[in-house]
Amino acid sequence: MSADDFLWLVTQAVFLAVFLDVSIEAIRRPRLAHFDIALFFGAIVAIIAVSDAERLLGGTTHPVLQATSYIAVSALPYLALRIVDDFAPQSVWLMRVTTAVFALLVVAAIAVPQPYPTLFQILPVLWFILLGGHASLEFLRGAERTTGVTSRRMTAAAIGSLLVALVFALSILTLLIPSTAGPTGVLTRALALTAGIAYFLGFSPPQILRRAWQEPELRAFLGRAASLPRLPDVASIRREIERGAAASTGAPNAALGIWNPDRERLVYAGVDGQLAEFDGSDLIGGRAFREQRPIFSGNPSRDDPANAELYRSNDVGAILAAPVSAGERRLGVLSVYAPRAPIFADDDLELVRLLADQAAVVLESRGLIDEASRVQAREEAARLKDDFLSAAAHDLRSPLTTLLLHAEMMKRTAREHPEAPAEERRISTIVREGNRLKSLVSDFLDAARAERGRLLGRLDRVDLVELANEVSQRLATKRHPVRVQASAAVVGRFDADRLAQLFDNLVENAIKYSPDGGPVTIGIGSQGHQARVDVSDVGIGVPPEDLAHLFDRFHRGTNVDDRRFQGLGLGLYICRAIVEDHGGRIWAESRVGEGTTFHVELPLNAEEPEPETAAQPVETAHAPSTGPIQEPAHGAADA
Amino acid sequence: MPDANGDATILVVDDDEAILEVVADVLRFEGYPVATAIDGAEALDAVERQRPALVLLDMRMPRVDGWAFARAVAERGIELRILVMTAARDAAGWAEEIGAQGYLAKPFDIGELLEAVRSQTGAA
Repeated sequence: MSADDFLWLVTQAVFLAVFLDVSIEAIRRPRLAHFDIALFFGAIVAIIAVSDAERLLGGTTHPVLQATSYIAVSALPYLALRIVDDFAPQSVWLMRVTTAVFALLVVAAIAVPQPYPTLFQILPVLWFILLGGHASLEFLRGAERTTGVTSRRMTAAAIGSLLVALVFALSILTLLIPSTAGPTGVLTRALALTAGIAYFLGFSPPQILRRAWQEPELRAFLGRAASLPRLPDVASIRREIERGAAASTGAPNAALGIWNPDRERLVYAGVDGQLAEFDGSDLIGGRAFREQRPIFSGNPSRDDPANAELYRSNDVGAILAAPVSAGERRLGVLSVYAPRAPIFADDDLELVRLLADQAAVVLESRGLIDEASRVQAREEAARLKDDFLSAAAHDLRSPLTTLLLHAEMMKRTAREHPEAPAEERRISTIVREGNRLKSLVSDFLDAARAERGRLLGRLDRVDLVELANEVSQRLATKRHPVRVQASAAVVGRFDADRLAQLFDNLVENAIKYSPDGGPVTIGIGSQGHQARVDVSDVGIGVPPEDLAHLFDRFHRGTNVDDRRFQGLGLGLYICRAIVEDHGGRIWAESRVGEGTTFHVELPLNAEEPEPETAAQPVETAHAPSTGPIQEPAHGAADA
Repeated sequence: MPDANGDATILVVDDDEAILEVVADVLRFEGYPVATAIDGAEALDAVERQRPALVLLDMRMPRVDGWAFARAVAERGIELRILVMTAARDAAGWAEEIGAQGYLAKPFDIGELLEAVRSQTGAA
């Protein structure tokens, strides 16, 4: 036996084996795609059988054999296109044309007298080369659109189609130039063998190969799964699970419906990123969710006619759906979609169930992480409140001690020396400490008001320079002189009391954080419609990492030794609220050990013409001149 | 009535001048010799000049605080009776931390102040 003969024998054996395999598959699972594949290989086996019969008959042809072979060759392009259509939908007119051409060729095979003219023999072969090329392109396109096992199957099918087209091209060459039969014979057979194997792998891969082809994507998904619960949001987790499920099964799309127990709906992410809600038993996925079992549908439009339009418009021809559950808890459903059922193998349902279980683990973990962070946030809020109350109590205790001791001393004196004059010194101290308590209490209340955005009262005409001078006189000491630098008055409409409080707080802050003494400077100027106030000290400064949080409630600098500097961390928080409620902004610059400057920008355009100097419309001429902007119901709301 | 010699002096340390003043006032009224210091550094100077019978020590103070003062005293091998005087919630803990003999939680009244001082000076 020559090598050529051996190759031919092997080729025949392979095609026969594949034919038997796909035929058994078609009988065991009677589906259109399985029949098409069985018929395709049946046609090839028929062609081989005819050629063997001719060989056995000693090279002579028999009219029946000739017609059979001709019809089988004519059937190949038709069947090939049907298979393509089974995996990737083809246009209706192409299917019709192909069917018509096949019918014509069958009729012609019977009608045309034998032996067939050469041109007539070439016809179906040319037709096949054309369609084989088309099929090859379609499979390649399909391979590009899909991932994992499906992409690999499509690639194999594309290679098979291309090779079969080549085999037929070579057979035409042999027919037209018989002298080439020798050299091309071996090549033809080798190509035919390879094509057969490629088709087999593409259309009916053995389970072990499917698993191997699925493994890289499945492994990648499972490897990533552990990190999924920590993704920033549920939308990202959903996207990753869907991508992983689609890649692992080789389907173009997957959808994870997450059960919302409050609304009793399954929530999916639509193509536009919008969420779409469905009833708990709607769609094939909903059915799997309700019945808590995996479901395969090879024809969703038929199985779920209510949503047929949705399936058709989204090109969904097959669905695998499995419930996502953690024990008794129903979390959702994972559905994998494909345009055509043969994309999936029967045991892919088991794979989707595995993926759904993995999704359950991911979603459960996410739930636990969310719960943990909720608990943490609650604890943090409670701790902050606790800290606040403790700091508040602390700050109130010191003046209270002084007050109490002086009052008791006065009581003793009064008892022992009723005739003695009132102790002026003690009384002033009591008044001073009482005021200190009062200002602490109003800080707490202001912070609470700022929280609700109700800090500002009536706006009046205020000269910032005048205000700064008052503050300077009030707070300056020998250790901490307060200088005001301004070239002209800067006048705007502000809440005078709040602005005085702002200046007080900034200057007091500057003094407090200059424990070794040093000057405080208030610079005031204006540019266009903006007033600018800069309060500088030469104190301990603020580390860069604290600058951003300086104005947060309860925030205290990391270099501020809690034991050295008392305080609630409310002052700057209130300052920011005062500035921002006026439409301005406040920020700070600082160098540790060199000092800090607080910058304030306040809009001056709130200043409106005085009623007596500006032409006023008649209907508002009687308006009180106390200022155009009144906080409605401010007093009542805050009372 | 304690002796008027240096050993009976009570050193009051607090950065809150109002408290410093009134506590000293109350103690003097009761006949105790009193020295005052505005922070840990001044207190340390005072202790080195004249060993007090008792130190009433505020903890949170600028520059040298109560902890630093207690450390410096221990480093110099000076033995002192200390009462921590603080408005903080954890007065007892802080007292234990620096090895003080006791604590006075602010706000306190005259009775509490005198009782604490007497328990430490052993004088009636």
